[in-house]
Parts: sequence; structure tokens; C-alpha cells
Amino acid sequence: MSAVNGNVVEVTNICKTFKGDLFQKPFSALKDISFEIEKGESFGLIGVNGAGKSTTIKIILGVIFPDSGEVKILGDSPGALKVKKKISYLPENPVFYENLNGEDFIKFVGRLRGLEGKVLRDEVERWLFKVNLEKDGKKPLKKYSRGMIQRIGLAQAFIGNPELVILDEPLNGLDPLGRRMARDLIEETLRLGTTVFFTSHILEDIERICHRVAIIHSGRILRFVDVKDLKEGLEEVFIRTLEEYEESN
Amino acid sequence: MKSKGGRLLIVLILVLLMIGVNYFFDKPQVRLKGREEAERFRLYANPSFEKWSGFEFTFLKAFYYTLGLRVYMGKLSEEYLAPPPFAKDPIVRTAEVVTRLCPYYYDIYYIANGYLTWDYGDVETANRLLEKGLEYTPERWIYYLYLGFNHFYFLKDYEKGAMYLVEASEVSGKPQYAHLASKLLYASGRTEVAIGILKGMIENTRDEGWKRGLETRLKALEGIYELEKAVEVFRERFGTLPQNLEELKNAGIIKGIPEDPYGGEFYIDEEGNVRTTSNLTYMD
Amino acid sequence: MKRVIELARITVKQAIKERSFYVILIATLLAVLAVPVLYSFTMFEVPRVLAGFALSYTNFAVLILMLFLVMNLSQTDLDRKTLQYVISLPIRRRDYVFGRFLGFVFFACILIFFILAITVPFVALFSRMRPDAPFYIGYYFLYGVFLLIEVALLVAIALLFLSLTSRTIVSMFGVAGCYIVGHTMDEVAEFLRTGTGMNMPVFSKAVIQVVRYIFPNLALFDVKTAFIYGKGMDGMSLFLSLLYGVLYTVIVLLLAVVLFEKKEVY
Ligand SMILES: Nc1ncnc2c1ncn2[C@@H]1O[C@H](COP(=O)(O)OP(=O)(O)OP(=O)(O)O)[C@@H](O)[C@H]1O
Ligand SMILES: [Mg+2]
Repeated sequence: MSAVNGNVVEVTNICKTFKGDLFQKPFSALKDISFEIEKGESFGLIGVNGAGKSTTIKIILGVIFPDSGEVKILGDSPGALKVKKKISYLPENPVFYENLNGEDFIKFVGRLRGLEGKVLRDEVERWLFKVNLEKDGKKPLKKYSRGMIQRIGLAQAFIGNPELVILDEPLNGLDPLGRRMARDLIEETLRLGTTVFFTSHILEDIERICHRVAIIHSGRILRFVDVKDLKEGLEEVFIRTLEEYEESN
Repeated sequence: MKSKGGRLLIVLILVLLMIGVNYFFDKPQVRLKGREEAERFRLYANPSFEKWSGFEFTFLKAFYYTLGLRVYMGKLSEEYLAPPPFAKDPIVRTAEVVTRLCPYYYDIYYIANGYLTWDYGDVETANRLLEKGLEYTPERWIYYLYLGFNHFYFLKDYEKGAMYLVEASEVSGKPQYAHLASKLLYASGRTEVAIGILKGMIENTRDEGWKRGLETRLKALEGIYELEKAVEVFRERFGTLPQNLEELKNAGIIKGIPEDPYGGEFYIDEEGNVRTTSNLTYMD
Repeated sequence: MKRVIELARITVKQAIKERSFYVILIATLLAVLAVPVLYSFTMFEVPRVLAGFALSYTNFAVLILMLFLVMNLSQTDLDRKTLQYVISLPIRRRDYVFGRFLGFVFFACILIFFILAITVPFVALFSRMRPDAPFYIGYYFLYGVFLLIEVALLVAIALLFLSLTSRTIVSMFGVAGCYIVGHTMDEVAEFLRTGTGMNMPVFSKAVIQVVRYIFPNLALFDVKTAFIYGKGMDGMSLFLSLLYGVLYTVIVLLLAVVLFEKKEVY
């Protein structure tokens, strides 16, 4: 672990071009992205649709590979088992194994995170309770509503106390109560010293939970914002940044 | 429509309509009738292709094709008294394809041999098939029995026939076929041999239709055998051959002239052999 | 290994949750009802014909169901991006491939055993009734092993295609193609040795030879007729066929793993 400088995520100069299918032009999705996230920090990536947020996350997870540049997670390369044992991920629009029931699914994830026996059972129960799904544990996931899927997704992201939680639009599809719950969960894990990396369109939420924000646009990071130093709303900063960028091009 | 019962009723009506469509429309338009229908038979690709297009289901294919042939011959038998000449080709082709698909499958040898010998007189092809069967399943002594019968009865090759009967006896462990083989070498006992072999075949046949066919044949042969014995008695008694069957009856050797189950009539030829006008196939 | 088992377990669970499992079991019971009909369709050696039917049915049902399952599960994994999520879990990428493989093979194992166990009493009954055409029940279950190897090989091929392409339709045709070629190559090679085959253009012969050495020879696992009639199979060649299947499966699986390690999962 790169405990030297305390960085959990180090992304340096990554570029990613999607080759596309046979007759499609290659598409340059990320252009020279660099940032790092400290241990215990809550880091937000914001940007318009198609800016490259999810692509960045997938590279950090080691699901796809950058064309150039380097990524270090907890001092190791992404995709290594050692790393994956300590991180968790909630996809945007998650689709989990649909014919499993919620409980079996959470159990499966918990086991992979190293939980066993009674601890596993207790944790599964605790997390189902925390996301208000204690009554739906036996239902197959394909019968879950969109928001219930999001809730089970949050539960699987937090079970087993990962060191880094990566959430791609975690507040998607949740009702107001659910959003409050999700925010509370994130804040709770932050108090435990967990690092959180997430994306969202809802700047209001970002402002509340994040320590630091990066604004990404067309595959470039335009600005880093320290939330506690903000003198105006995040929304204004965001829009101004994009406008400045459009003008300079 | 709205009530549960209403919907159930509609579902029922639709199911009935489905059955009705099957019942009323499936037949007359697409299917030919009578002889025309009977004369159509499936087309085969070359046996090798039939085999590889069967993947791992060649056994099913062999079974299905054989069944198809049986159905076809069954339909023909409704229209024709004896298997018509044009049906020979389907039999031979089916046998070729099926023995390629699964050379161990018993039924096809049996069926092909039955039709080819008695109805089409193509004993060579029948024998070739049986030899092929023996290549794959040498323990099936019944093939030797067929071969023996074919050689002696149709080809009049008594020595070879006897040889096959001895084989049948050895492989099956049944001594009666060895006895028949030895009798075969004496001209006088031949009908008796044929009867003995037929009895063996009947014993080994499960299918009722085929069994009845063989029994008819047996009955005809028994008629001939009875008359042959009578001719012998007549010759011993009078020193000459009888001119016709009436003479045997008048001499009091037989009570009546047996009936040919194939609808022909028994007669005595110049050499004193008992024959029948039907030649042991159904007369049209 | 723990992670592989975990994935295998989830695969079996998914497979069992698919209704298709029960459908096959019911279909088998219905197929068993066809026994009396078959009995009157066949003239000789009834037990053998019945055994042939039962084995062909098992073969067919297991193949279809496994193809459906493997394709269905791979499809959701790929098209709905579940795969992205799964490989972000604390597993190695190869754990996914091995886990899926083991899960599918284990499920196929249960399936084969069930179908054979349901049909075997009938075959045994008729064998007893007609001792003139004996059929050995031991062979019946031994065939299950061969079928299992064939299914394992096809599952490995499906996983290989999963690593090669992101399109289920491609892998579906790929697996079907391997199946067809795998079952016909033996006959084609046989044909090459005949007179007509000898006179084929050199190019065609070369193509056939190449194809023959790349694709698996699945005909080796089709031992149904051999078992039913107790013909043309000695212990050694049976053993070699199994060994061939196992080796080929392992190689394909390793190839799948190597490709999957570097696959971009969109
Ligand atoms: N597999 C792919 N092939 C080609 N292009 C892709 C692929 N995945 C993403 N892209 C493109 O890369 C760009 C960035 O996509 P990405 O999913 O990272 O956006 P995002 O910032 O997450 O957007 P959103 O807020 O809508 O989730 C988009 O223009 C998208 O079309
Ligand atoms: Mg996104």
C-alpha cells in the first residue's frame, strides 16, 4: 500500500480511445486524466452525460484498460486480486444476477469479501435492514423495483467494510427517503475511515458529502474544487467552468 | 370478455378451432389419395451424407427411416395385393441408408430380406445385406438362417445353403439346424427343410403382421409337403408319376386337395414336382 | 479455489432457478410415457431400441438445455453489463472462467444423472422381459460420462467465445458451428480415404485436414450405438476418448482464461 503519501487512488495521465465496431470511428473518451484520492477522503467526479465519468471508474476497476498512463489503487495495479479484496463497486444502472434473491446475492458478495458463518449471516441481515429491504430478502432480484435494486446495490457495496468504495451515481432511482438513507450510509462509512469515490449529476448531494470534487468534461479534468473552500454554490462553479472551457475552444 | 368465465370460454373455443383446423384442413389439400399417395416415398441423400447430417442422432434416424418404410409398405398393402415393382427401389435405398446409419439395427435386415427375396426375387441384394449385417453382428445366427434359406430355396445352391445352416446351428447352439442342413443335401427332404427353417423364423418374430405372413407361407409349404409325400406314395404304389392331383385323390392317397393360401392352385409338373400357380406370392 | 467454488455455486444456483430445469424433468416423464408406443413400433431387440431412445433423448435434452443455459447466462452477463460488475468483485478473472465452467459442468452432471435415473427403470424392465437382446445398465451410466465430457467441452468452447467476442449471437453460432463440424469431421475424413475423396483437389483436402486438426472430434463421444449393441469398443479406446476429451477441454479452457485476462469488458 502506498501509505507513504496516503493516496488510495493515483491516476496519472491516462488516455482511453474506444476502437468501436467495424465501421465506427474510434472515439477518444479520456484525454490525459490525472488525479489522486487520499485515504479517508470523499471524492466526487462530476460532469455532463458522456463526459467520461463511468469510463474513468471502469479503468480504476481494471475492467477496461487505458491506452496510456498509469493507475495505482492502494499501491497496486487495478484488477489485482489484492486490490479487489479491498474495494467495492456500485455500477450505474446495476443489473445483478437477476434470478437470485436479494439475500443470496448479498451473501455471495459477502463471502467473496471474506465473511463467513455467523458473521456473514449477521452482516447480511444488518445490511438488508439498513437499506430497508429486510422484508424483500427472499424475493428474486428480477422482481425488485429500480429503487430496490439501487438499495441492494448499496448494501453490496458496503458489506464487508471495503477500504475504497466506488459508487457510480449511487443516488440514481432512489426516492427522497432513499437518498437521505444513501447519504447517511456514505457519511457513516466515511466516519469509519473508508475512502469514497463517486459520481453524480446531483450537485446538491455532492456538495453535502464530498470533500473534493473534480469537474470532467469531454474526457478532460477541467478543475478540482475543495468543497470546504467554496464561496458560492457548486452549481455555479460547475457551469462557469464549462462555459470558460467552451469559450477557450 | 371481462369475466374469468368468458375468457376461459374464448380460450376453449380457440383450442377447439385449432383441433378443427387440424381435422378438416390437414388432409385433402396437401395429401394425395389412394394409389397416388401410396406411391410417394421419401428421398434420401447419399448414405454418407445421411450419416453426417445425423450428428449424434444416427440411431434415431435409422429407427425413423425404418419405421417410414414400414408405414409405406403398409399403405401399399392397402392398395396392392402384392408389393408392387416400384416399391423395390425404396426398400433397397432405405436398407442402404439405414445400414450405414446404424449397421447393428436388426429390423431393417429382416424387412429388406423379407421383401427382396419373396416379392422381388432379388436374392443377391438380400444376401449382400445379410452378409453386411453379419460383418457387424456375427452373433446374430438368424442371419445365417436367412442366408441358408435364400441359398437353397431361391438360388437352389444346396451346398452353400447347408453350409449356412451349419453356421446357424453352431452360432445359435441349436442342433435342429444342423439336422436340416444334412437333409438339405438329399433332394427329397427340401420342402421339409424349408418348413423347419420357417418355423425357426416364426419363433423369432415378434411382430404379429410379419408372423402371420410367415405362417401363411408355412401353410402353403405344408400343403406342398403333404402333396409331395402323396406323390411319393403314388410312385411307389403304381410305379409311375401321377398326371395331376385328381389322380392322387382318386387313388385314395389324399382326402382332398389342400388350398393354396395365396389363392393359386397346386399342380404337378412333368418331373413330378408339386408346384403352385401362385408361386407363393399373393395373386393380383 | 474458494472463489472458484463460490462462483460455481452461484452458477448452479442460477441454473436451478431457471425454470428450464423443471421443464426438462417433466419432459422426461412425458418421454417415458412414450415407451409403450415405441414398443409397438419396433420389431426386434426391444430393450436395445428403448435404450437407444433413452440415450438419444438424454443426449438431446442435455445439449439443448445446456446450450440454452450457457447462452442465456452469458448473454445477461455481457449485454446487461453484469460481467463488469462481477469481475470487479474480489475474484481473479480466471476464477470467473473456472467458476462458470465448474458450475455448468456440475449442473450438467446433475441433469444427466436425473434423466438417466428416471429412464433407467424402463430400460431395465424391458431388458428383463426380453433377455434375447440384453442391454447392460452399467453402459447406460457410462454413457453419461461421455455425454458429460462432450458437454464440458462445449461449455469450454462457449467460454472461449465469451472471451473472444462481446456478442452472444457470435458465440452461439460459434458453438453450434463447432458442434456440427466436430460431429461431421470423422465422416469427412473417412470420405477422404475413399476413391472419390482421393481425387479431390489438393486445396480442398488441405482445408479439410486443417479443419480436422483444429476442431474437436466430437464423434468420439458418441458411443451410444456402441454401448447399446456392445460393439466395437474396447476399454483402451474408451479410455483414450475420455482422455482426449479431458485434454481438449483443459486446453480450450486455458485458452479462454488467457484471452479473458486481457479482455476489455464493456
Ligand atoms: N464501449 C464503448 N464504446 C464506444 N464508446 C464508448 C463506450 N463506452 C463509453 N463510450 C463513450 O465514451 C464517452 C464517455 O462515456 P461514459 O460512460 O464514461 O460517460 P459518463 O460520464 O459516465 O456519462 P453519464 O453521466 O451519462 O453516465 C461517451 O461519449 C460514450 O459514448
Ligand atoms: Mg456514467
